[in-house]
Amino acid sequence: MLFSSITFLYFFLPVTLVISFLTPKKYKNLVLLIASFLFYGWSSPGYLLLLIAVILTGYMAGIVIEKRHFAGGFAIGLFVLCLMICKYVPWLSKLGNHVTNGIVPVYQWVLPIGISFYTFQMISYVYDVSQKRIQAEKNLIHLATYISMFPQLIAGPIVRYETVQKEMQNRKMTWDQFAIGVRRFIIGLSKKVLLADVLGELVAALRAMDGKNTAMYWYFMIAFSLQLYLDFSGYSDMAIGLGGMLGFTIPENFRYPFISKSITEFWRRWHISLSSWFRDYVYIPLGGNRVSLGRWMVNMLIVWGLSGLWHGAGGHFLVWGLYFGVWLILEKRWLHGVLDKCPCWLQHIYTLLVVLISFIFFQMDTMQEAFQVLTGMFGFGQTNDVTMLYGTYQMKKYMLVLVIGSMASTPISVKLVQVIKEKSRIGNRILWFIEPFVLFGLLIIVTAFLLNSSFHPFLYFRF
Amino acid sequence: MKRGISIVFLIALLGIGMCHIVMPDTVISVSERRKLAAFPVVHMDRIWNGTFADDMETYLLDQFPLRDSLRKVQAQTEQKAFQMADVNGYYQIQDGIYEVADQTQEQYLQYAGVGFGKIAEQYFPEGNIYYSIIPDKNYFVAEQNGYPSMDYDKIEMIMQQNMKRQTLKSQYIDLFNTGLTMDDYYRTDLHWKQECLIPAAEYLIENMYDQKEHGLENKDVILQDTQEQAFDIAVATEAFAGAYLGASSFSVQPDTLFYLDNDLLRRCTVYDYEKKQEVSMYQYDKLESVDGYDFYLGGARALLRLDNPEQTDGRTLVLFRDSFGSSIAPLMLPYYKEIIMIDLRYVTMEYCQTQIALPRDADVLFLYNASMLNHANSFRF
Repeated sequence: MLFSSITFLYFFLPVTLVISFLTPKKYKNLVLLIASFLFYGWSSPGYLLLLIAVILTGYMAGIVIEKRHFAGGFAIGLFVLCLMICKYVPWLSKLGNHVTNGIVPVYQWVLPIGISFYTFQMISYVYDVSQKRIQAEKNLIHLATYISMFPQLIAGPIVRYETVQKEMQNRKMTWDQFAIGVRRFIIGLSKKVLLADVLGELVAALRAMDGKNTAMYWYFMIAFSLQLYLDFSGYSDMAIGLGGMLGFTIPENFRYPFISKSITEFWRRWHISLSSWFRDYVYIPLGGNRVSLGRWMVNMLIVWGLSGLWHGAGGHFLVWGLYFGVWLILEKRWLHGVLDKCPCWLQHIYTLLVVLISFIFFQMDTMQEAFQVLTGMFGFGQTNDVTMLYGTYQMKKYMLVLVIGSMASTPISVKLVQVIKEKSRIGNRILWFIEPFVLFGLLIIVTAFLLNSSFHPFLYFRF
Repeated sequence: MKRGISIVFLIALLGIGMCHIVMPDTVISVSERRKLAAFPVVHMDRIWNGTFADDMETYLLDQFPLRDSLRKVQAQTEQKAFQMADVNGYYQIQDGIYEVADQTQEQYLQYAGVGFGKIAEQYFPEGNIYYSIIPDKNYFVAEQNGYPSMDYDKIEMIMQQNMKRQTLKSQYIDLFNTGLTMDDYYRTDLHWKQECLIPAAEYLIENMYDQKEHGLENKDVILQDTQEQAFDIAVATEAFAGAYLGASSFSVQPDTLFYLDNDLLRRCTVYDYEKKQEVSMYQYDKLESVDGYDFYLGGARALLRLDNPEQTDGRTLVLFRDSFGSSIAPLMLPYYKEIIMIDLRYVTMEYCQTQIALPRDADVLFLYNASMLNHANSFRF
């Protein structure tokens, strides 16, 4: 089920919220677990069995670890194997088939939705128990609810058990928290439906054009970068908002990454839960930066290579991850001092440029396509009159949405609201008064867009 | 206030959900010209493979309360707030609605030209072959208003080249320079207005009669006699919401749909080979259907025959056409004994031959809208 669907918005969500409110504390997790299973199994009931198997394995591993430490490694191995089979075997078999001229058979199946997120959560739980950072959860319902909680089940953020453990055992659903959740949810939904999906139309239109000139390639990549950010951060906003409505505090996943002044800062602001997961569960166990320079560089490349592959099974994702690995090595060892001396605007341009180019590898399906876009951006594109006509038209058509999308990816509006609230009492009162109208107005407009649009899955679902 | 927001949010979501359940389902959306989804069939296989969930979402989207009003909200937001030049592929200039033109599809135009030529050679070896292209609305407004439009010169050129390649005797009748204007088309629909088509119909007839192969010595007499039969203009409906109005959700007033009639047309008969019965030339019941333009000859019909009782020794016109042909055909009928209308989107020539005798020496006119030719892959050659 998608958050941006009528099934979810007007049926699943209100019914789940009302039942959760009315249910006694003791049974709240059970209600949330049943709702989450329904949410996950709605469009792919078969994969629900896999999710349940992962939960049961993690639960048993947690209990056994306290007596037999090796069980942790065994369980983590199982989760990694499960992820490998579901996500990477089709890609690897295709690669093997190509290399061996058809000797290796090709295996193809649909990736279970959200598997990268929930296996990572389970790995973090088992690892933390084995490291004695947290105690094993004895209550199966609590653990199953943590893994399958529908707000963050299929596209994150990747939540650690220690973050929600207390709330899992004892949480309060308050009107204040609920209202903040409603605001966050509607803002996230609007980012996704009104901006990301509309920019997605532009991206699809430009991508479909055979010949593009340099300006079109740049426009295409800027639009895609904004679409990706607004889509994913919109989803995270919705997850945080829904968590709030249900009494959970789900951690932030984005902090305006496009205002970063370095790649290091960018990754502290983009998909924070994944970056910190790789830091804590791969980078630090490998030795972190307390090793020789050579080993550290290898560690960095391993971590970023894996991060790339986490995003997708494909050579271009691996290149995408390694690309960032190389930039981060360069920054941390050599560029850091140089960047600090540069003017602020130059630091921003440098970061945006590196990130924009990275998204070429992220977006295109093959390396060949990625290089075509890359060369096109630097003046080697070929265009024709028809593409010019239609491309220019599309660029003009979506210009304002692109500007609004750019503004939404900076903290300008949030800061403006803060300033009004702090400096002007009347302004504060006006904001207080109009906020509900704006929120419900947005909900109506979002619904209108959903009714008139075709299917728009979240970009990060494929991971 | 926070409690208020929370309660209103919950009530709004629950209330809309309840309305959805309580309100009766609608079968057809007139504004969108399509059938709406019905409640999906519940079956274990469908639930297991996820199709039930997909169908359920489609059903909920289609049957959403106030769907038409909300579609207008979307159109207004994109038009006014986002300043987008078009909404869902439609744009508005003053009170007229237009569809953004697709790129010129050379391969489909070639396909059409070759297909028409082959039909002409195979089925009408002794006939007089004509073809003409009806300009779409974009021809009149797109370029000067900054919208993309098809390359009409290229369309004409490709059609001419490919027709000539198949049959040397085909003649092109240029409708682009016959004085057609934007006012000859409906504001809310893609089609032209029948009441404005007398000059276009006469232009086609004159060009077809002008061809030497026709061999009619009394051409001028026939043209003169027929042109003198004036048409009465009558209103079919004052609330013709064209296809573009529904698809775009723009807030534009509907058109008035007129039709032309006279004693001769009233005596003419129309035979529908799909229904295997005579039908009316102007069909009032179609005004309430999803496409009001079906009023003319019932709209998209595969094979029709129009008989003119006044021209018993006249010639036959075989008209290959799309929906634009439905409104102009009655205006050409006075000049012919019969007009056989074939819509190649729905029928093949092999099938036509099993239904009706096609005179090998007939006048043959391929009359299609430019936009239809640009999507000629739907033709059954």
